[in-house]
Amino acid sequence: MRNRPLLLVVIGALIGAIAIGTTGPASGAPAGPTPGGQISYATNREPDMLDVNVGSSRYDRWVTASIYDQLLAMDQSGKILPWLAEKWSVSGDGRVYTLNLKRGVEFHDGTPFNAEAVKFNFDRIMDPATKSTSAIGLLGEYDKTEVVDPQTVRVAFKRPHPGFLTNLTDVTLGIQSPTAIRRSGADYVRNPVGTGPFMFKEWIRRDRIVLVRNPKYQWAPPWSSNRGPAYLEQVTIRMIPEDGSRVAGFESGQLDGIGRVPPQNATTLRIDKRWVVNNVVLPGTGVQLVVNGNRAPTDDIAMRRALEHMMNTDEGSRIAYFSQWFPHRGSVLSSNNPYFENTSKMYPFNQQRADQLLEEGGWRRGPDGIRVKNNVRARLVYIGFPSIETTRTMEWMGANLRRIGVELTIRELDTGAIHRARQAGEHNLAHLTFIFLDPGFLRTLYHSEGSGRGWNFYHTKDAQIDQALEQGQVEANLQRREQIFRDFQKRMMEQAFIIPIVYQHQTSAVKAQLAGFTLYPVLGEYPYFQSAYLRR
Amino acid sequence: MGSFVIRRLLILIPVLVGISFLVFSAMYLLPGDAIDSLLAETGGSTRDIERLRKEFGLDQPFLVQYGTFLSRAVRGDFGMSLRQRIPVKGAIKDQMGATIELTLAALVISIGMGIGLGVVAAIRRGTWIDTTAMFISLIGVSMPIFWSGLLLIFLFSLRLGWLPAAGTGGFAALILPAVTLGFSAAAIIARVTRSSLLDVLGQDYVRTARAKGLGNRVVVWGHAMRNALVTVVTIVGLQFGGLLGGAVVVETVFGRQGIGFLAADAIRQQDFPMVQGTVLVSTLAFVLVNLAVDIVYGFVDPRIRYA
Repeated sequence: MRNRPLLLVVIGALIGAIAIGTTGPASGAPAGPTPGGQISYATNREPDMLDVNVGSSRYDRWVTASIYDQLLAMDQSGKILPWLAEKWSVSGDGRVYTLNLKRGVEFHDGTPFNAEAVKFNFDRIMDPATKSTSAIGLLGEYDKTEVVDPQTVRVAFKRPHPGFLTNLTDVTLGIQSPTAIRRSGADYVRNPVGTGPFMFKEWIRRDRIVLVRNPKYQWAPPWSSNRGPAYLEQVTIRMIPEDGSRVAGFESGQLDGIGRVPPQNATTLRIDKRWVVNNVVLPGTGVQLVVNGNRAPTDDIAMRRALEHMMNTDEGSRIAYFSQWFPHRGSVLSSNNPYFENTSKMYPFNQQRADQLLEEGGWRRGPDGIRVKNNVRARLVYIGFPSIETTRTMEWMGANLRRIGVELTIRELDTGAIHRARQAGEHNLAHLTFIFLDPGFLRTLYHSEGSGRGWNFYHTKDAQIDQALEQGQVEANLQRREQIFRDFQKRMMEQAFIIPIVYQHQTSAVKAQLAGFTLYPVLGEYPYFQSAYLRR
Repeated sequence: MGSFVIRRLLILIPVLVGISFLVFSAMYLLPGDAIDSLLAETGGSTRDIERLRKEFGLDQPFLVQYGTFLSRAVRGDFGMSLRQRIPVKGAIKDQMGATIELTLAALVISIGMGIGLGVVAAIRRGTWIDTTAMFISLIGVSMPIFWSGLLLIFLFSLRLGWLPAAGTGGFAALILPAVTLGFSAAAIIARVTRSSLLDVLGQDYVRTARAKGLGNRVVVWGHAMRNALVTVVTIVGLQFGGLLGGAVVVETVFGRQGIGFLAADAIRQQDFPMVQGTVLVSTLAFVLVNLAVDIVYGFVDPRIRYA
């Protein structure tokens, strides 16, 4: 009885899957891609700016992914492919990268794309006057860029930077026009010029950003099905923060596509053949709970391990995410990371085992059924953002934990407050999810140096973990590096500092007439319009 | 009258300085700062956190930061948004038009609907018309704006397909947001109109007017309403503040341009130059509207003198 709504959802999803399976492409003439037409696509937040070297918002990238190209590309499997750089090599010590650039590439303002442009972009990111927020992190211990010849650059680092090639595939290191930056100055943030398939036309603040086709585009990424210019004449990106309004705008036909479809809406949109739903796993940590090892009762490893055994990610995915976000099988990396280590065998869902661990650890049930050890009550505090999905997850988890005699208090706070509370370690369980490509970034989240002032929320100094993160960031031998990170993932789970729940997903929905639309591979979050066209 | 207006305008200066100090202190005391928020999505090494805090001057003591802000603000420079890296003044100017359009439209709807309902209810006191009018206003008072907004979208955009669900620009896109916002204010105006009109209708001079043989219409609109309006005008002035507050929600639900939406985002992102700018502009608008209301009193009630 309790599971009835759930059952309905599952049935609904099945019907949806069947409906999609049977419709296929529209019957009649096999309509190939035809140029022309315009569409509007809505996101849930406005970008801060369209300068990727400076900004930090992911919502900037929803737009800039169409305006700028990267030096390298990455396919679904995480393999690195050429893009604006055709060839590359790394010095033996992993400190110097030589990149050979594609010829004939041009920025929207006519400036030729060359070695000077690449050097200009990297140097600008490092310039303190730029106040770069996230691009600077991707350049690591940058030393300098040398222009070898117009088509060749040599990028040198003070220490080995094995994540550099991966980071070059990130939209954040897209290459911007030096001419436009020099000309627009501080105003460049809203007058972007790149080499991408779409050119910036206008930005009406808090309403829309209009992009128009770049007719000269001949340097599409290898994973795109379209080698030439985009088919669509114009793409309008709208911002509608309220989920209900955005979905309503799409269902009523006002919009051709939307991003950030909430899981509960995705299940119903899937059923209707007028629409196509894209659902992809995002890279990074996935949605996880960070367990504070420095606060009772989770300072006890028996308690932490018992919690691991009580996390049934399959059920969590079903209950909190309507099975739209898939259950996590690893620890701190999503399944699309090449270094992903499947750790799901370590703590199978098992209530008896959890009870047994707590008994052995000296946790005895009190008169109200909640366990106590040395006068410490088994009461956990969770701190997280107010979001329907995480609230549902935690309520479900709280009910599960009660069965093993553990109590859970849910505290939901605003961004600033949450950050300080997590830094101060006021939690036993903290919500955390981050998107990134290279595991070198893991240092920011899990090294003990970040405890109290950064993003380390398990607040425990573990020499093995710290060492792995320091080494992994600079290990030039990629096999060894992979091993370091695989061992690190296992260590995090052995110590039970992380309770993974689901992979983070991006769900977008577009009208069925809009064919060829995709989400950026691996980076997933960003809509990609270059290969999209309207069926006639 | 002239000196009254000038005096009221001069009072604005301490009000604005006071508000700016309160806002600045509140932003300072809130846990976290703009850098935490800037890096919330992408993270940053401890080195980057310290570097950015310094580059934005957030490592300075509170009074130094406030002093810098104030000395710029008196020269009309509200600084740059930490988040968007554009001048705050320009960002507000871009959004002002849409908010003015929305609040004015909502004001017209709320006055028309509120006074209409209130008068009808007062004249037909105790009948089903009164009950219905007051029930409608009860709905308006009790229903949260985001909820009524979503219901209107569901009905008029999704089911009937008459009006756009979201966006700015054009009359069609203004209707649903203005009705949503106006309805909530109309409810309160209706209640106040009803009670103050009932109060006036019970007074001796109204009885005298009726005794003279004047028609109902003349009595209500010509004699009673004139007196009842003093209270109503006050409430309308105060409701304007409520409309500015409600605009934050309406602009978010309908994905409309506007400074409400801008302010809400700025607060969440702890972008304090932007918060200061939007709050000061809203304060200014609120004070000016209430000054206008005070002037309108003079026309409504000739007994009121400005000294």
